[in-house]
Amino acid sequence: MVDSRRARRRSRAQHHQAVPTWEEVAREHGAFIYTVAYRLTGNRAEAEDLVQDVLVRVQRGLRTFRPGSMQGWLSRITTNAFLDEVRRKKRRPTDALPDENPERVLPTSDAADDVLEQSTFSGEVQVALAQLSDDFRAALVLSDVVGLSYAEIAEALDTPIGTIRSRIHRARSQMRDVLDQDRSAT
Amino acid sequence: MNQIENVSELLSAYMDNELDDHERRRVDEALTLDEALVDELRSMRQIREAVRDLPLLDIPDEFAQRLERRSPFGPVARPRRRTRTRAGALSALVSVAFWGVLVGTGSSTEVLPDLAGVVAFHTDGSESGTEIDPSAVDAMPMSADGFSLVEASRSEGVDQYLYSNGVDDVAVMVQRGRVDWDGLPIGSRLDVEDGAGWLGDIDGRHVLVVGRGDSVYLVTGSVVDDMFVVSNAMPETERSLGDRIVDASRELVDLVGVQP
Repeated sequence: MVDSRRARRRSRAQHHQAVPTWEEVAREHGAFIYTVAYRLTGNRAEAEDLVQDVLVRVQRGLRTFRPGSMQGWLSRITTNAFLDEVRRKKRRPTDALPDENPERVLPTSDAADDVLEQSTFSGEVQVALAQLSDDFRAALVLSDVVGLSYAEIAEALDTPIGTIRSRIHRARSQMRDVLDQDRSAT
Repeated sequence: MNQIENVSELLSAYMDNELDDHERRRVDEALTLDEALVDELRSMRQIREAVRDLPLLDIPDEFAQRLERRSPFGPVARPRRRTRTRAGALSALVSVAFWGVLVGTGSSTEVLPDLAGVVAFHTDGSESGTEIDPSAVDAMPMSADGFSLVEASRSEGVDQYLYSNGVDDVAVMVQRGRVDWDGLPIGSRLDVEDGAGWLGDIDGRHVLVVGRGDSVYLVTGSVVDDMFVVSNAMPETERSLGDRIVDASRELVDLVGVQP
């Protein structure tokens, strides 16, 4: 009886592996979401805001999630949330100061992490990445950080594939120029 | 010169294998003729690898703690403290809601239903045996449309029932109190006659919460249909709780795509 019940539970567990819970997503993919958010925004404070936005969207979206590449799905949500925020800021360029979040205004120890990373080679790459325009950076992150194909990126960003191809190339060219300048300066 | 510039534009797509055959042949030919183009391809590869090699970042502990403090579920007393790893810290945002602790929210009768408890009971509790405490079954049916009561117990004001049809199990918990609806995680709210309902997923299992009068009913299972079968058999005075849940479950067809 107990064995058969265990077998049934195993079977049910396998069924549920197809669509994870929100808790499982946060636990297993939280670092991935944070990494993509950081690469897109270029700083910790905005990455954290973005992660919170993404988690809310993930919870809403899990109901319609179809088994497939979880990281691809999460990266599309993260990138679109990022671009939505970019567009929102463009519409309202003068955001009010945050009312209860002094770390957004005052430098804290959080910033030390950013400074530390910037002192390494990967930090230099991150700085160069952050200097790209938002559209270029989004395409490049989806390509080289997440590993999506051009067609997948085009679909995620609702942009023609030719435009994606051009953005990725120009993004890499600009990053090369920035990194070359840094090297020649040192 | 222009031709070389045009080919240069194709280098990223070339190394990403995103060109069609014609374009690829064009780049291959240009690379045999122009050494500067070869150098450019090499430098573009270095950039691509540099971005690909950017490390996976840990979630900052302070951020995870801030998420927990600002979670929509509010502060919840924990029965035990777990050591969190950095990688697992983010899960605190959601896991804090699942400890399954009754929490007073200003009213002595308003409770957060024991969501984790009903799931744990469904998952593990039934392994302990099939004994039935007679005092716990006075308000619940012994069978329900193919499902039989295989375990029942009463503990600290919470009645626990496990039904099985030989293939699947459905667990029911009944506790006193009014549901603190605002404290529940995000899920599907259901309009239930003479009460209210909520359906969500906890730990990979569907959990249905129905509040009626001074009782909170929690039903969990792996198959939503089974949950409604068992719920439908619950005794009620006027209109059965099951009927109301079935009514409400019709909304689920649109919400979660299941048939009641």
